[in-house]
Amino acid sequence: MDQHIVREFDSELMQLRMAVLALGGLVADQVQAAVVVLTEESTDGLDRVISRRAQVQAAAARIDDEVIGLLARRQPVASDLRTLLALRHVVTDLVRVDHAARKIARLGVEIRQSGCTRLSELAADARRMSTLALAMLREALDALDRGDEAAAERIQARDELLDGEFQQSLSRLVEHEEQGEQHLRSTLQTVFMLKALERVGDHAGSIAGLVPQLARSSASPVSGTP
Amino acid sequence: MSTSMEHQNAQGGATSAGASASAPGALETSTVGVLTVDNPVVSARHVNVFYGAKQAIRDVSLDIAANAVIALIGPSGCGKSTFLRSINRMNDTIPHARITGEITLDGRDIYDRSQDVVQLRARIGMVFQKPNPFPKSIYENVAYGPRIHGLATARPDLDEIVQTSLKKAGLWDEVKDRLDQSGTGLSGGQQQRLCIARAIAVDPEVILMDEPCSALDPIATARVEDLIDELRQNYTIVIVTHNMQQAARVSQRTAYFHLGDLIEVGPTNEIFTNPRHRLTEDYITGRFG
Repeated sequence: MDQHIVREFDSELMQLRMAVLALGGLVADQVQAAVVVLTEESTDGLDRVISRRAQVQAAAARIDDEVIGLLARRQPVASDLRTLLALRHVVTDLVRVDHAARKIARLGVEIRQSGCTRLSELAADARRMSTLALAMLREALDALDRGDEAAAERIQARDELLDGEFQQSLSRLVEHEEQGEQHLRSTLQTVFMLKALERVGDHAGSIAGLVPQLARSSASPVSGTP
Repeated sequence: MSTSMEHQNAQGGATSAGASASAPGALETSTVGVLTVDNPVVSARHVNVFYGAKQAIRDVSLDIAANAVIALIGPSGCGKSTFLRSINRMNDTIPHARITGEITLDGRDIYDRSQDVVQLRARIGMVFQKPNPFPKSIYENVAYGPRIHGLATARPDLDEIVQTSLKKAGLWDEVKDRLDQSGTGLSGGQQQRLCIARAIAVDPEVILMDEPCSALDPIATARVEDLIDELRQNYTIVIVTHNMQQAARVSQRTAYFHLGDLIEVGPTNEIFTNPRHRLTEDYITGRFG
């Protein structure tokens, strides 16, 4: 789509997109760091994830301020308005992914410290799910950057794979629980952790779902010429 | 009445370059959106307007619904004001202006030879860009129209019309104690509301507004916009505006014109959130204009 007559508005929209993508990168790192906690001896990973919370929140708040400022100053309509609202939705998803990352890290430490007997098996489950979830998240951000609607569609379809992994992990947990091989507390912590990973995939799917809206903002949402 | 505008409607078989040969009523147009409404007050079919050799609007068909505001938007020279002025035959006053097609008011062709243009302009009032009160008292500004149209001659009847019109225009409380003072002594916003009171004093069905707030400050603009919202309970309003936020705020339907073509028409909410035509999108998002 052509540039705005006021070129500064194009520049502001571009900066906003870059800020959202940078936040996405930071949040993806949070998820990666959170999963490592399960196999780490120290609580450094958890500390790292928690300490970066302020960074994520500050970045999200800056983007929010910028969106509100653009709404007030530029009074956007049509595709510009949808772009701003879609980017705001993306930020909401990313903040929730960060929340999930902290949950994963905290539960990971608790599970490890509880002396869980199936830690390596559990870590493998978590790694499989996190690999899928992180790939979905990174590819969703990439699709957002490139306005790639086809890629976004593929990402949404892959959410079923992650859901399948989650269900299989749950089945194994139930099996061990029935055999009395694991404490209930540890089982619940594991379920919540795996569920948080599954939620990362949901948010990645949600971001991918916004790509068509953003892609059409930079192309043509309308019919031809008269 | 002598006029420099020759009206030849399509039924008469007269067409010009770019004019549609379709019969009035038929809608063969590339305009995006729903052009028709149930029980339209004004209905335009295949309207072409020429200023000499130059064609100002091309094959425009559009219905205007009762008790609603329709905004006509588009870049300068797109034909929106020309279309507005065609609705009450203001273009008759322009030398070499010529129109083809059909425009009806309540089903009757306004360009019919038997149409009294003075009566037509009483039924379709107009408010201009720049407030233009007569250099007379506030009272006389409003009473003039009803008096010359014979709506009232006795002073009590005129008093009633003046008071009602000024109240409808939201100006009564501000001027009721100085009705004998000159209308030109009011502020710009008050003058524009006086012009609106003057327009509604002759009990029109339709009010045409050609950029009515472009000379007003934001407060006066807000008052006029609030007034437009109230007036639509009783009148049909067509407003031309360059201020897209204003079009979005005051209208229920919006029509976008481009280089003489009516490109898109639709509910205002849809036009400003999800326009269907690329040209509309480009214009309202500031990528063209």
